[in-house]
Amino acid sequence: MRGVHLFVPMLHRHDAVGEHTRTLRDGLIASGVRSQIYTELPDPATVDDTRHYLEYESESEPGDVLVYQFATESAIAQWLATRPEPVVINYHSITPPEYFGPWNNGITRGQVAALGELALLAPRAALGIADSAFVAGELRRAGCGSTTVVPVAGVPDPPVEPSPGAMERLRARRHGDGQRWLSVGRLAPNKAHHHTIAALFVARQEQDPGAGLTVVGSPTEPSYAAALRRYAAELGMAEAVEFVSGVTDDELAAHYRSADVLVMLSDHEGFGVPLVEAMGHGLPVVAFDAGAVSEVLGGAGVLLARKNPRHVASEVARILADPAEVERLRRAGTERFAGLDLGKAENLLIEAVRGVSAPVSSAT
Amino acid sequence: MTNPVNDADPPDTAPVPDDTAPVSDEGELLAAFDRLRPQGSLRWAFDDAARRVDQPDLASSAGAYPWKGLPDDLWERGRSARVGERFVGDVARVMADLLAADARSAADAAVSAVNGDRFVATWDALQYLAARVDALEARIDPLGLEAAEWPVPPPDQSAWRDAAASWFGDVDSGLAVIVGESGDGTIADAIHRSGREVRSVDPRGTSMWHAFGTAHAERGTTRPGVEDPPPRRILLDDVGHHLRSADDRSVAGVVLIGCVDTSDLAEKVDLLRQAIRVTVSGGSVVVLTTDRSAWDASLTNPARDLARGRPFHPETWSLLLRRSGAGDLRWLRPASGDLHAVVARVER
Repeated sequence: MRGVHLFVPMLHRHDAVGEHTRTLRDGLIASGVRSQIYTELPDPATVDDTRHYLEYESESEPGDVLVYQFATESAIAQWLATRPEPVVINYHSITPPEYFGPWNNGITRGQVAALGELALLAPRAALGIADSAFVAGELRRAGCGSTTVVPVAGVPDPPVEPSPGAMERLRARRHGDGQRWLSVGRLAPNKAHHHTIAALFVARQEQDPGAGLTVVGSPTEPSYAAALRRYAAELGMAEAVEFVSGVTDDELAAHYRSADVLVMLSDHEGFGVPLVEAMGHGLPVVAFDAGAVSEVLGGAGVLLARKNPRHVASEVARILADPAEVERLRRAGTERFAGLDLGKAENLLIEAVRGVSAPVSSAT
Repeated sequence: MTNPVNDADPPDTAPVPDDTAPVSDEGELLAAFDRLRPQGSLRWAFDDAARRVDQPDLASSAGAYPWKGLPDDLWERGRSARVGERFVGDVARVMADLLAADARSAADAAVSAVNGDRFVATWDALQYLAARVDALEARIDPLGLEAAEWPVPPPDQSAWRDAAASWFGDVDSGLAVIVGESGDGTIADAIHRSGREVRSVDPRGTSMWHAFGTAHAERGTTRPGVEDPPPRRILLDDVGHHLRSADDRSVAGVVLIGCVDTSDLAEKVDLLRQAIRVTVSGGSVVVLTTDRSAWDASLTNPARDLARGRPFHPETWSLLLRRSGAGDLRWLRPASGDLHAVVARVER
């Protein structure tokens, strides 16, 4: 029996690509296909679940298909370019290097290298699977001849119900009596959390002095995370802006349920998992139109063409001051979430990779 | 990559709704974050250099120097707001090009030393040096507190409202005065009303935003006898950082308030040196220092204990100003309030 094996630079927990990879692996195995996750670098939290990619060389079987979760630079890409097996690129978009330029020289060089690896691998790929039409366009421009769009797998459908305990803990921690903004996403420069903080500052000065913001995300770029905290403190909002990371699914659901609005001002999104999670929880969404955001929102949120702080603050204030608009956005969001049918994403993904045939060897 | 703040806003030619007008306060708000980018800072450069020692990139010449192989316009696309840091990148690129052949030789030599005693010893020494620096930094700031986390009430500037303009009266009227920390803007406003350009600098967002509100309220109002009001720049920035970025002998003078009370000795001395450096000969540096007992009474116990610095006596400021090269020192006592003024003339 042939295998469909998954390759990813590192396998993280509570990470969109990590959850997507694990979901795909589990689904393949459940459908009777051999599947192993191979990584370049081990993550201590998942090391028991993975093997080093070079070990595949002694484990390969005729008919295998190799699926590469592509978002960053990795030696795996160069290695895959030399393999005889069909390669499927499951592409999650490469964050453009200029976002990291002022923050982390090493990551910047890595992203430049990743773009080179994409140019190397895309023309050789048997299939490119993209999270969105926006990302599929990137794949085609890189030379991939065959692409298909499958939403990110691993998003709980239906959404996780938060426990009463998690909700109560959040209520007890809440500062201020104003509206609660929520931003979800890694603390990385392209997520532009600093724009959200600036907009909150304007909102507190001009519309809602008690407004607060919770930013849920891992500090993947430490210098950017430190700058965010300092920025909030310098704007007099050390108490009003809360940074949270390492949350469980239950706690994340509680954040979505207890907030008044999701504000996402990313400069680059290949899909935007927090958008669909927020819609699934009935949380109104205000988002900047970048990358795949408009495609994923599908008209179910407020899409901003500009994100200067005053404009963002006034749009949030406009929505939250109108209970009918809030209700309309809640309904539109839950309908959009249902329409995305994310529960099928896993099956679509499995169907797509299983459809890639390995060339028949004359020896077999 | 488009800049949604700058590119999408219409030119300021006609009245527009508040949330669409291109206002300098929003630009300043976002520029304040840009200044927090580490690019070009010592720590950023050290971390990158240390990583390249540990993981030499042998596949390309980037292992020898960091900027080779990156797109030429990357720094412009990265939009670092700090002129100095962009210059560092430009200089580094030029040096890298000039040293290309030598850098390749150095990289080859480094490769040959990998796993050798010399490389291990060098790497060990580098790590111990980093550990000693970390220990020194931790002694200076063990809690990693940001000054803004322990707010200190800004001083009441009202006692000097009427006298402020006279401190710079006989200096070239075309030169600006820097007021940092401008706080509620009392002194900055007074100097501005006298017909002089002012740069109001304050690290606290709320003070800056209040200043913008005041400036907007004044916009369009005519002032008797002043046909073209002088510019007024409002900057969300650390005073020391702003002074360090200013040119030599470029302003009529500097008024230092608030920052002189909350900074430690090294920072106080640096503030004076920078203020004198940027002031023209014949200009004035004015230190407004809070009375010590009033300071103690105004703070909570934790703020009093954990604030990085405390006010110096006016006599001490006079000594520091004299040692920094200023002269014609005058200690002025306030008619009301707790803020003493030490006025010094810059002489060269």
